[in-house]
Amino acid sequence: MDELLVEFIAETQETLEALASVVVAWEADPGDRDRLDAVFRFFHTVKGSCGFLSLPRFERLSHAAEDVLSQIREGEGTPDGATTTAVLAVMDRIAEMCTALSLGESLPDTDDDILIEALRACHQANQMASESMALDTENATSDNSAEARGARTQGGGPRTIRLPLSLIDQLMNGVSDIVLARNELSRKLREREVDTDLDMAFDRLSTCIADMRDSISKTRMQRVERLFMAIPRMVRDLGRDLGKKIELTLEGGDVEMDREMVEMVVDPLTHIVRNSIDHGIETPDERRAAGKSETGRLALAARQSGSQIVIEIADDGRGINVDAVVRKVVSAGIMTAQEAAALGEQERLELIFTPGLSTAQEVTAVSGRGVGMDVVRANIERLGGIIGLANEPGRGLTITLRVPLTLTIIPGLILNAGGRQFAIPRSAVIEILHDNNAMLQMSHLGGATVVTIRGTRYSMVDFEDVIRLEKQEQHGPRTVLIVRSASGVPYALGVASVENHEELVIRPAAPMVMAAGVYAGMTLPDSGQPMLLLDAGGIAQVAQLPLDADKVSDSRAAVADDEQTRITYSALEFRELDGRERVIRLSLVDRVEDIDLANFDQTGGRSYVRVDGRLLPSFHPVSPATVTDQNYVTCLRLRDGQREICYPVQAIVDIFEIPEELDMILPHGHVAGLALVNARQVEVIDSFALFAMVADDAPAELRPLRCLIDESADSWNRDILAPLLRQAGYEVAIWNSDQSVDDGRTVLLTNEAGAPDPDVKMPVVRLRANSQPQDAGDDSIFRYDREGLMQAIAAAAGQDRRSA
Amino acid sequence: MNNLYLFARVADTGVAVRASEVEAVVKLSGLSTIPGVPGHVAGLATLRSRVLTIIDIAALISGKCDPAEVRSYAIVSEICGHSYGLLVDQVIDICEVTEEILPLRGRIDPAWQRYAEGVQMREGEPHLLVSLGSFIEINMFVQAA
Repeated sequence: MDELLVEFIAETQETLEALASVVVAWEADPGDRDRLDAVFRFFHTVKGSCGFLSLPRFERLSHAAEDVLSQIREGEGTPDGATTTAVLAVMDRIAEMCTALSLGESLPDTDDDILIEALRACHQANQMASESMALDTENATSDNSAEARGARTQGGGPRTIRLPLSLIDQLMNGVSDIVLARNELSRKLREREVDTDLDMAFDRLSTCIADMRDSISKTRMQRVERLFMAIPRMVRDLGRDLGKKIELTLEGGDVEMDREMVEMVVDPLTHIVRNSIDHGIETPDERRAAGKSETGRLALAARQSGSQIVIEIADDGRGINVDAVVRKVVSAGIMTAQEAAALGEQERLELIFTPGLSTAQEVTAVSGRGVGMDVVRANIERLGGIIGLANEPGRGLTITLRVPLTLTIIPGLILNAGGRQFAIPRSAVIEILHDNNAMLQMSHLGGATVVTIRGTRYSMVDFEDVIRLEKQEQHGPRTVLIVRSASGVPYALGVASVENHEELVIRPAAPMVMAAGVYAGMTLPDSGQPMLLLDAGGIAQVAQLPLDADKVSDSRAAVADDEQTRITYSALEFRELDGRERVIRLSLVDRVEDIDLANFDQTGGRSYVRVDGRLLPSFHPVSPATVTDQNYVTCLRLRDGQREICYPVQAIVDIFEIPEELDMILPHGHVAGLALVNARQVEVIDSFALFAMVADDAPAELRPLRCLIDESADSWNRDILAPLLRQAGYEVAIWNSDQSVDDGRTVLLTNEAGAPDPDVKMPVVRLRANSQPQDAGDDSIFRYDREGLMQAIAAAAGQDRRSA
Repeated sequence: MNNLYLFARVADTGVAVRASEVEAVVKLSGLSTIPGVPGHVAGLATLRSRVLTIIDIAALISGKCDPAEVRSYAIVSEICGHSYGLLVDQVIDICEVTEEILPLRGRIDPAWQRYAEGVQMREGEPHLLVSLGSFIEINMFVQAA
């Protein structure tokens, strides 16, 4: 196709999208010259362009609209609803013709005349009505100001260029390649001897790459405005059809999110807005009767919160009639009245997400809401997002969508199954348990496996069976992941273990690999070993799991007694400077305070903050670039009884109770693992590691101690115990049995029970995997009893020193 | 440049590939196999920071899957937006051929039929002219057996 023509279509379509909301605003305030001018300019441009592109139909339509608008501009009549509708109709027709033109189709042109006629008729009628009102003086002044405004809009605004999407994708892939190459280089560097110069050069390169990755990622970003663009028009049209008055406010259109994400959120958002207008906001009469203003309010707001975008859709309509929803769920046979009665308020509300409820016509007619809400939720969750409801019956409903910023770089878990590693998006995983966990009961029935956790039954499948791999012998328990299927119904996926969590750059996998149905893409993690990303929904389909929602209710009672047995503690949720949300034990937090940015400083690679005339170690370095507020930094003052450290954060989020027992133990820096909080996983700070990491002025006597670890093959020793000891300031080495060190500063740790080997002259600390000792003579220490372990090591060393 | 061909041996057959299709020839190390896919998808390998999907051409032809480790050379090619490595037994030569492409003669094995475009001569020896893309495109959506 002609290049000029392509350009014309792209430009016209773009302007049309942007104009839809302008026209609606102009209708609400017909005196607004800026908007009128914007609409007029559009038709004027279209008319001008199609003149030399020889598109007579475009020309005729835009000419007619331009005519009418120019008369309005000159003050001959004010636009009323009918005129705007007619103008909108012409705009719609131009949009249709653009689409047809780009596809090379043709559109019947019989209606063009009707549209033009309608436009003229509307205008004439209203011209007559308002003729007497036209005043020369008014025109003169408004014309001048319009010119001034026009000049301003043309001069301002950022300069932009148009780029093909493929080029941006190419750039993005290129940057991913660079990141991976950097990781490989970093691995190679680690294998060599330390060379400070080289390391510094490499660090500089890393910083540049990270910056470049950030800016390239921004090219993929689009303003949420784009997501909002179609909303004003839809609200206007629906409101008109249903005879409702609606005042729409849009906020946060300048927030940016991934282009792909915008496309995926459009449908759910449209659905929710439609529901709000259709079922939420009442007619003017009903609203008057309810003592509200005739005009309903609908507010859409977007904001960024850490690595998520939060979109709120709030209306002041009638809200959800929870009782009606419950009645319908019961009458549809989805659950019994007793079961429903046992539900909490929020759970009753969330029944509108019940699959199957939406399809029953009579249900939606009475309950008012719930049209396809299960689909909306499934779509949002597929993106790794969350949907939340805040219902105020009679006063309105607020729906909150939380979606991640981007799809290409995702937090993932690395699993092991059948001796191989796979990755799975963390957003797909609801819960992680060991199969020997007391909360989990596994039963086998006619070849099927079912696990019951807190009273909920899940279909279970071992991933090795799905891809026909041999299960490998292993010492410890296997791991069960509760993951989301495509329909939103969770199921249990058995794997050998969960090994790590990492930010993964996801690439599409070759079609032949995708054809297996269980993979979603591939990735090259820091280890350099290519890995496939699992598709949780696909696995369920390949394994042919029955994924019908279980009765919600039989979980209730079970949860209640489960909660009694789980010990909980108060935790403070906060947002890190980099936007991640984490929790920390509240009892460690002495206080929270805002500290002047100028009080932060770095010396010799360590960060300090001046507080009350003292220097406290700061956990993170703080610089003006890393904080949002340029004056103050919110800090957690943490205290371990003696020492105090300052932990700068972005913001405090919430305080709640979390179980003492972590849902998954994944030590990683100062993070101990993951806990399940309100159906999402948060990282829990390892307070031990935290204090250990800033142990700059740790007492000298701790330093020389060396721990030898027996049985290096045991992954627990290697991956959990060794890092713990290292963080606690011990030197760690692997013990080989013919080596006996008796230098008064070495302690041997072993998993073996029984009498000590007489040849071993070192003090020995025994660990056991069970929490209870085998018998009275068992002097071993439960391996997760960190304090006991540390005491035992210290005691063993002390005893040795005394004897020496 | 247009007359440049890569000659290799696959499944006891000499093949010629247009050099314009070939990005590189690499010696593979560390192939990670993919469970649950057809046998001719030998696995994933890394080439610098790229991940290659390794295709076993011999398995496509014979239907049998020998362990891929034996044949460690792969022709790297970008096909339909994905990076592939196609396993070959031996790479013979890369050279310019001035002769015309000859039509196929004789009854060719049906397994080769789908991929062969003609015959290219090198030092008097005939080689089947194949397109790397055809190996991928024809087998794009074959399900695991």
